[in-house]
Amino acid sequence: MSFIVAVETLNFILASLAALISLGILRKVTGNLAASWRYAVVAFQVLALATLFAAVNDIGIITVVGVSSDLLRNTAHFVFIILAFFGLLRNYQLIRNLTERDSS
Amino acid sequence: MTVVDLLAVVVAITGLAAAVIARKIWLMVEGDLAASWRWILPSVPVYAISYTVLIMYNFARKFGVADPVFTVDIDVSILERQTMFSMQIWEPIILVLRNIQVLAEMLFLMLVIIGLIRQYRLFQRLSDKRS
Repeated sequence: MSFIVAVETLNFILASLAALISLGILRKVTGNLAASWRYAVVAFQVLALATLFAAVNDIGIITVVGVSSDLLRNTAHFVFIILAFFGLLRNYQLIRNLTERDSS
Repeated sequence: MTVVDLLAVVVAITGLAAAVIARKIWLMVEGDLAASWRWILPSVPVYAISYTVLIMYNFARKFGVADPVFTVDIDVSILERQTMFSMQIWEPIILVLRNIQVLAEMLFLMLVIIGLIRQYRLFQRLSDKRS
């Protein structure tokens, strides 16, 4: 196993752990905050998938079910960053509304 | 530029935009929430940098030398005698870039996990107080 495959496998475990912790947070919160954390849970699951595709690509498997593993990895990263972006945006809007309410 | 490269560029730009939002959140929160966000928010630019390194790696792999080790032959002639030196040069950039990328991704995930654990503890405390 090469260094890159070993680190990518570790990254897959870490991303799965992040998804689990996000799920734990999601169960503790309600309302608008829960909606923003829902993005995070899905985003970390997709990131775990992306690291898995990267490890598969580095092992030497070029295609997975007929699709290039490079393309699958980048698409998964794309979905992750879009979800993370909107999750952060919702969090920002929520916190801004709270601070505006506090100041008025 | 292929679809794979285009996606990578979009991911890196969106990552940088997410980093700007993360910084805005960081400036607004205070107390325990700020302490928990302190770990998650710096991780976003780390992710964007990691992805930018991946783009550089892909371009270097495409346009650089295919073989990481290349040979340079030097002919030397001194007093009518010819000799040849052969030197093997390791092309380190391409290999090192990929290692830097996976390590940056690992750093991003570690920062995220520390931040998430702190947020989990905070929300657990709040929900215990509420019940």
